[in-house]
Amino acid sequence: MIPQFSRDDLKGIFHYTGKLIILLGYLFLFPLFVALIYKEWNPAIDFIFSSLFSFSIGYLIIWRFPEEVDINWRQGMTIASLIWLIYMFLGAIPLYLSGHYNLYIDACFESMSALATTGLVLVKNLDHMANSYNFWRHFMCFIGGQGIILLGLLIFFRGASAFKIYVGEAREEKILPNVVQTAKFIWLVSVCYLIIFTLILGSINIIHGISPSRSFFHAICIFMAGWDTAGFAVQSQNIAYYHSILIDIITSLIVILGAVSFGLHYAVWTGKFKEILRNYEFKTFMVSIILLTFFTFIGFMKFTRNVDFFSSFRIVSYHIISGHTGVGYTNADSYYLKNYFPDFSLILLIIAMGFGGCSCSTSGGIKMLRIGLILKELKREVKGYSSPTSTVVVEKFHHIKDISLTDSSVKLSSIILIMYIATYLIGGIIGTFFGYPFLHSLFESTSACANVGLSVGITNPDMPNSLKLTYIIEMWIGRLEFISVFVFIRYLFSLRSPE
Amino acid sequence: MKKFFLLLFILAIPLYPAEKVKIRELYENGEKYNGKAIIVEGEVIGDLMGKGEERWINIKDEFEDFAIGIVISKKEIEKIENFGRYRIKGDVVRVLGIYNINCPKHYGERDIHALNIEVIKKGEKYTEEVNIKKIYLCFLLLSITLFIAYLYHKEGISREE
Repeated sequence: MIPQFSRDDLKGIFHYTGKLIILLGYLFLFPLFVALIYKEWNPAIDFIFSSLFSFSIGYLIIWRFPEEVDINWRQGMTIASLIWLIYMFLGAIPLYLSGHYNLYIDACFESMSALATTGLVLVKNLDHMANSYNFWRHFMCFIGGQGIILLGLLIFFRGASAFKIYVGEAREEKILPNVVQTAKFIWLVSVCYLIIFTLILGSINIIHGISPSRSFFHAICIFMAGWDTAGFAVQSQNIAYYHSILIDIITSLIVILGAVSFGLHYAVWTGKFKEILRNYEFKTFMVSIILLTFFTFIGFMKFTRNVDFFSSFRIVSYHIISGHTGVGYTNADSYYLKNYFPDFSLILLIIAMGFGGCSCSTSGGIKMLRIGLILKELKREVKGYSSPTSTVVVEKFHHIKDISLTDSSVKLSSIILIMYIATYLIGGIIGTFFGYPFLHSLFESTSACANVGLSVGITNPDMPNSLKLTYIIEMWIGRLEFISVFVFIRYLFSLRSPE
Repeated sequence: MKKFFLLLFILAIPLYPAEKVKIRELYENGEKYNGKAIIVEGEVIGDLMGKGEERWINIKDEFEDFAIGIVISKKEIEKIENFGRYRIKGDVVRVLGIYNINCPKHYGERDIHALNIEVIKKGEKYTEEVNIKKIYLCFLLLSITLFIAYLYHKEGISREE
C-alpha cells in the first residue's frame, strides 16, 4: 500500500519552503542594486517592499515550522512544485507595481514565463520600462533556468535530502557524485559564460553605436535570457531590435550552449573533447536541428514568395534553433510567423519546439535523450523481430558513459513523451474553445508547455484570462516535467481526505 | 548616372501617393504596403545604431505596442534629439519611406527606408514622484519582519538550550 501523506510531512515541506522564500528576499536585492545604480527610486522602493514581504512570510513559516528534518521523495517533489508557484506569486509583485501590466494575473504570467524560461510576454510598453524592472525579468529567467532548488542546494540542503529535492526539479543526472558539487559546477559554468558572453555582446553593441552602459546592460540581460533558454529581451522587438546578423549568430551560439547537457559541458571542461563527437544525445540534437531547418526552409521557399535565399535561410534557421533549444528569441515577429510561415513550416517548428533541447540543460520540452532512447528502442524491437527467437538484442548508446538500453528507462521516457504530447494537444484544444485556429492554438500551447516562448500572436494582454491560466499551468508542469507536480497534486488531495 | 536615377526616384516619391498608415497595419496587412511608399508616425525609442552613412532607429506607435526599424541617413539623424526609454519621452516623428516585409538589402529585415523624416512632437525628460505611502508601508513591513525574525531566533536559542 502506498503511504498517505501525513500532517508530519508538513514539517519538512514548510520548513524548506520557508527557507527558499527567505532566499527570494535576498534575490530581490540584485534588482534593488540595479535600481540604486540607475537612481530609479520608485522601482527601488518596490524591490525593498517585495524583499521585506518575502522575508516576513519566510520567517513566519520557519518560525512555525522550525525543525530541520530529513525529507523523503514525496516531500522533495512537493517542495519543488510548491516553491515554483510561490516564486511566481512573489516575483510578480514588483512587476505588477511597475504599472506595465493590466492585471496581477498578467504579472504572474510573466513571472512564471521567466522562471520556467518560457519567454511568452504580457508586458505593455516594455520600451519605457525601468532598467531595474527589466533586469528583474531577466534575472528571474536566470534563477529559474539554473533552478530555484539548485540555488537552494548551495545554501540549505545537505545529505540525503539534497538529491531528493534535486530530482523534483526535473533533473536526474548527477554530473558529480554529490549533488551539491553538481550544483556548484552548474553555477560555475553559467557564471563563466555570463562573463565571456556579456563582454562579447556588449562589445558588439558598442560597435553598433549603442552607448557603453546600455550596451552592457543589454548584453547581460540578453545572455541571462539566452543561456537559460528563456527568450526575454530588453526591447519589445526582441532580437529584431538590433538589426544585426552578428547578434543573431552570437545569440544562436549562446542558446545552443544553454540547451546542451551540463554533463557534456563538464566533459568538455575536463578536457574530454571527444565526448562532443561521441555523445548520442548531442548528435541526435544536432541532426534534428539540421533536418528540421532543411525541411522548414524548403517549405518556406516553396510557399513564401518574394523572399531571397539568404533572407529566408536567416529567418528559418534562427527560428528553428530558437524553437528547438526552447529559447524563443525571434529576429522577426509573431505576425511574421502567423502570416508568412506556411502551415508546413509551422508544423515543423512545432515539432522542433516540442522536442526541446538536451536533458540536464536549461531548456524544456520532451528532451533529445528521450527521443533518442525511443528511437533506439524502435531499432531494438526491429532487430529482435528479425533475429532468431532465442537471440537477446542489446542496444547501447554513449551519453557521458556507455549505457545499455533498459526497459525501465524506455518506459519512463515513453510516459514523459506521452504526457508532453497530451498537454500540447489539450492546450491546443482549449485554445480552439476561445476561437483561435487549431494550428495556431497548438503552436502557442506547445510553446508554453515546452517552455519556448515563440508566439503567433495569441499571447497578448487582451487574451482571455482562462487561457492565461491554462498557459501558466502548462509552463509550470512543463518545466517540472509532470512527475513532481502530480505528487504535489496527490498530496493536496490526500490532505483533504485522510484515510 | 546611378546617382542621377536615384535622385530622380527620390524626387518622384512625393508624386507617388504615399499612404499614411499605422505601424500595426504594417504588421497585420504587410503585403498591401510591401515595396511601396508609406507615411508612418511614431515615437523614436531605444538607441541610435549603425555606423557610416546608414543608421538604424526604431519607432513605436505612441498608443500601441508596435515598433519597427527605420533605416535613415546620417544627415537625418541630426533632427532627432530624444530617444524614448524610462523617464524619457522620445521625439515623435513622421517618416516618409519605402516599406519592406523582407528587405533584400538588410537580409530579410522588416524595415522602412526613410526618404524624409520630420519631428512633429519634441520629446522630453520627465521625473517620477516618489510614492511616500509606499515608503511608510516598507517601514511597517520592516518592523513586522524584524519582529518575526526575532521570535524565530529567540525560540531557536531556547531550543538549543
